[in-house]
Amino acid sequence: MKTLEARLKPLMIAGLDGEASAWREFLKLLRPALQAYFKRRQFYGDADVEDLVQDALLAIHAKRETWRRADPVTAWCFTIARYKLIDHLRKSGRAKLVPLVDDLVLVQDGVEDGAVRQDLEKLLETAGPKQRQLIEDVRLSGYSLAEAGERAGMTEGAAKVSVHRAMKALMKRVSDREY
Amino acid sequence: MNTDDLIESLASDLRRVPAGQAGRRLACFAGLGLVATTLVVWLTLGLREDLGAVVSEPVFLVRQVYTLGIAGFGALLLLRLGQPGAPLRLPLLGLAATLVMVLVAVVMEQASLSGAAHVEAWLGESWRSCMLRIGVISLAAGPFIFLAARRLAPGRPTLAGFAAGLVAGALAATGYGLYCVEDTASFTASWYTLGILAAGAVGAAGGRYLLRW
Repeated sequence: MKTLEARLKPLMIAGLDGEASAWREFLKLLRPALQAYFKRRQFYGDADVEDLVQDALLAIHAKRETWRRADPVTAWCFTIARYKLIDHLRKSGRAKLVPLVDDLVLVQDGVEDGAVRQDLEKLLETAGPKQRQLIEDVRLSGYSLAEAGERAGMTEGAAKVSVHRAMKALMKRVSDREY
Repeated sequence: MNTDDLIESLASDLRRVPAGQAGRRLACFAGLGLVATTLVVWLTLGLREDLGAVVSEPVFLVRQVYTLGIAGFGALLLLRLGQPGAPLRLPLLGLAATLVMVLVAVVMEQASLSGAAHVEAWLGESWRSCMLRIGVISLAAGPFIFLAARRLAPGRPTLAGFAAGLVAGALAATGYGLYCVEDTASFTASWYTLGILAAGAVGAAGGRYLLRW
């Protein structure tokens, strides 16, 4: 299975070229991802997720010319989704009650994002089990190198080298794979 | 409305979008803005009489390159601000380089002067009206820039409005430069810049409301 980005990009380009079927497919693929995105950010439980999804789909349709072919489509889509979410919160007058900023920083990192997380997991699967554990501990869970090394049964120095090599290999895989 | 129906209706009213359309539209409208400000200057203040003679003078060129540079890189900044996820580095570097260029010119100019000439180069005779005029003339370019910017998708409308104001101000300054006889780099660096920034402030206030989407 290809990543969301890899599936969306050709559809986006075909949609910009005026292919209605590709654009329909694009919006349909995006819909569940947007649903998940808004569902996870329903601070008070009463935000109408489906309304937000429709808002975002409309904006993505209306603003499609603002996507640069050099940029990732998913990042573009979720930036628009975030704008619509903030707009929604502002309009409903609750923005000031919500610790929005903290959440948004995470959104920007994208690790929180369903689609991105899925891609990340898939990528990590390609690393060995030990390296994978190390990377998750150090880069995602926030253990120190010494703690992560201890969990993996190696010295801090060895853990550092291992994480570094694994990251380098993963970076290479990512840049080889797409675009 | 059902989301499936929405997707269906969006897909059925699809038009082709050529690559780079947003940038071309903004460039086109900025061009119209420059024509508008130049016309306003020409019709109200008139062009300076020695325009033909000074076109090749370095001081005159520095000023026009400065204001056009701010307009160009400002427009690129506006465009990038309006494209979700697009990097801002290039336009910001461009704006910085344009500023550095004029500051170098100021330092060289001031180093070559002595005594009262320092202040004279800085204030000239029209420093009071320069900033105000640039601000007013920028109103002729503003609508074009905002019209193009409204088609974009800026995540920060106030900031995008500031960039739009900078462009309008810089286009106004470029037009005003065809009338104004204060060619010194010191004058340009202070009063032209202030006029452009004032237009940027007005643009920021407008962008807050006009550039929401």
